[in-house]
Amino acid sequence: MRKIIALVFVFAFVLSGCGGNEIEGRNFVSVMGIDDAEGENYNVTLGFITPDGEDMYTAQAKSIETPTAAVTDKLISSGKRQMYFGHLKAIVVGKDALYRPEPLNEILSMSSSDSDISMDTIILASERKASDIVSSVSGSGDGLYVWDFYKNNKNRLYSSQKLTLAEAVKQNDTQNGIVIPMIDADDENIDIQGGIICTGGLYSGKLDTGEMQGFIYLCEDGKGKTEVISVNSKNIPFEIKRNVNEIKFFENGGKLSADIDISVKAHSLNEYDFDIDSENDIAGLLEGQIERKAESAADKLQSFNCDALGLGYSLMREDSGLYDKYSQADMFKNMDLNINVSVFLE
Amino acid sequence: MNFSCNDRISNNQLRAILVAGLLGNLAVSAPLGVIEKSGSAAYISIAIGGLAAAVLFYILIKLTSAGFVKSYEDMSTESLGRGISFVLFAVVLIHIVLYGGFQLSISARMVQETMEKGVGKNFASLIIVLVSAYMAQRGSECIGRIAEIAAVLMLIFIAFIFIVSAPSMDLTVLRTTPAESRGILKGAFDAFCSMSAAGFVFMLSPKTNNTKKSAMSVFSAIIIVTAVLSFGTALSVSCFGLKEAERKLWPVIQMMNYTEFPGSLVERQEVLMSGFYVFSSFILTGISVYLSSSLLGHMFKSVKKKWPFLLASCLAVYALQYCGKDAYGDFNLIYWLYRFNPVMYIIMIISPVAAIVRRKK
Repeated sequence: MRKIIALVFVFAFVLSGCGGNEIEGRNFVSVMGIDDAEGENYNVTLGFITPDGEDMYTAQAKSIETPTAAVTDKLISSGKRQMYFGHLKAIVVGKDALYRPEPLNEILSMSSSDSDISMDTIILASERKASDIVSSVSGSGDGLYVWDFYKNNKNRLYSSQKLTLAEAVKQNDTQNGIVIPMIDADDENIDIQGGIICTGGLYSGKLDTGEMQGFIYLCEDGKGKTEVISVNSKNIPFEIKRNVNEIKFFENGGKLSADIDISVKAHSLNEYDFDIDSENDIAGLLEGQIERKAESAADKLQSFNCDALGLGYSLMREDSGLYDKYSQADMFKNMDLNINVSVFLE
Repeated sequence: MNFSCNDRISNNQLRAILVAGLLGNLAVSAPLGVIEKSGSAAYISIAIGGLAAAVLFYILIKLTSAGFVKSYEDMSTESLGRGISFVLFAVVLIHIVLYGGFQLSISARMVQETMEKGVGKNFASLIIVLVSAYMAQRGSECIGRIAEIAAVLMLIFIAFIFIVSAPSMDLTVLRTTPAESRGILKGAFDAFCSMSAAGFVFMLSPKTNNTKKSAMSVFSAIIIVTAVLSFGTALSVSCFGLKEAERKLWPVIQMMNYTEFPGSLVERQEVLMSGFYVFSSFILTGISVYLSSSLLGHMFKSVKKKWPFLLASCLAVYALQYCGKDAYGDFNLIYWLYRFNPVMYIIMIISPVAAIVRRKK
């Protein structure tokens, strides 16, 4: 029996923890950029960290042309060092990859089926080529850490939201449209604001900063954001403490309608002593501002028939009778949306 | 402190073996088939199927425990004679070896997929089988003690994951449509089949110190497994959406990686979860090897040594990993085997019923 125990221990030592590849033998992919290329190929650019003896970490970018099905397999074995995707933080999709319906599906499918890639990976889109963005963020000192950017720059992210791979896959499966947060970067800065609207996987348009803010409220993602109202040329910032929505579907004059009640709890970040001494007036101003943004976001989405709010899916789950009656390609476009905002000040 | 070593287990150890052995393995294989049948209502199906299995186990063990003697093997030989019991042992042996082997194959594939792609599947299996053989050689008590530790660790970690993940659940996805509601019972039957590990339950129950209480131990074990699986399935469907949860091979395990640990304590939670799963695999493989070698020992009493049976069991369990061509092949094999689980209820109660009848005569 002692021989068997000894054998097990020997095997345990033979099994190297990193599958034959130690840390020094790996490149840690942090950002992946995907652009469309000729035929069914994609131009994949990787921003990766190379653990190095002297500098510890060196960020580089590398491009390769390949079909999505072979992305990780091909890249893992390329070069002397193994490309490791276990620490991938962000995937950037170039706008040109959204001019055909297939790429978005393929990119999401490839990423979610690779067990090394975390479902918490952030999905971003760019109006420029993704390769440019990845090269820029790899070149700048803080650029690789897009994920940390989300963590450390909450105030700058008021006009964008964090779209994880899991959420993107879920939305892509259940809705006819999706809004992908937009990234731009140069050697100095990373800017994540606004969003690219995709309907059926195709680029339809974009949400500007204000519309993206409205979209965030419609998605119940407002918590932690800052809303600034202007009174007598003075700005009063409010931190959003809670954002909960209630959606009711009903028929009105033979038309499908939905009441979207956005309930927001806000907390003033500064002391204020303006002429408006009533809290209700301040709350009214906030309500008006949020409502305008939410309505303009909903209008833009409806104009592109992009149900990024998942109203069709919610209706199917909540009232299948009503869903069956109105289920058609332009259901979201023709829906009557009534948005009401209530703000409670802390 | 001296521990007794009489190859008997306590009722707590019986519960721990079932929880630790079944929890990890069913968390991987059970939800997939059920989601296919009942969609978003999969968590309801699992709850119904698991409850049905628990109640059936409770009733059957209560009714038959009067016939339990030292072990299932002795009980069968005494009540049915050597000839019939030999055939019965052969059937149970095949079932247990297949169950252990197919689950080992899935475990090894998951180690390869989630932990290290560089580690060969057959190599991972070999390590699990070797350690399991050592546990099996030490007897049921040894496996019971290890299972007690494993079950507690697994449940604490899973409970923590669930508590952290629950607030962000998307309840809209979990609302069932009329079409899904119609599939609830079909899904529940699948869940019932997967949780009906009657071969293991009826071979282990007579080994407890107090057989009168073993019905409650089995009942509580299946209820614990059901609760975890049902909630885990609801979480993974809520996190990934229905289609992606269906596409994923081990949605419950991968869901763990989506959960944000407070303070970024752990970078890749799913690997940690896979570790617990592998722990579960050690227990199940260990108990499979132990029970099958014990059955072989009773079938071929002329061979006095223990190690040939242990070796044969290990080889059989290990060899089965070559049956599935890929992960989907492994899953198809285990689903095929689950269909026979309800039949095992009937096969397994033959011996205790015969023992009761014989005593009354």
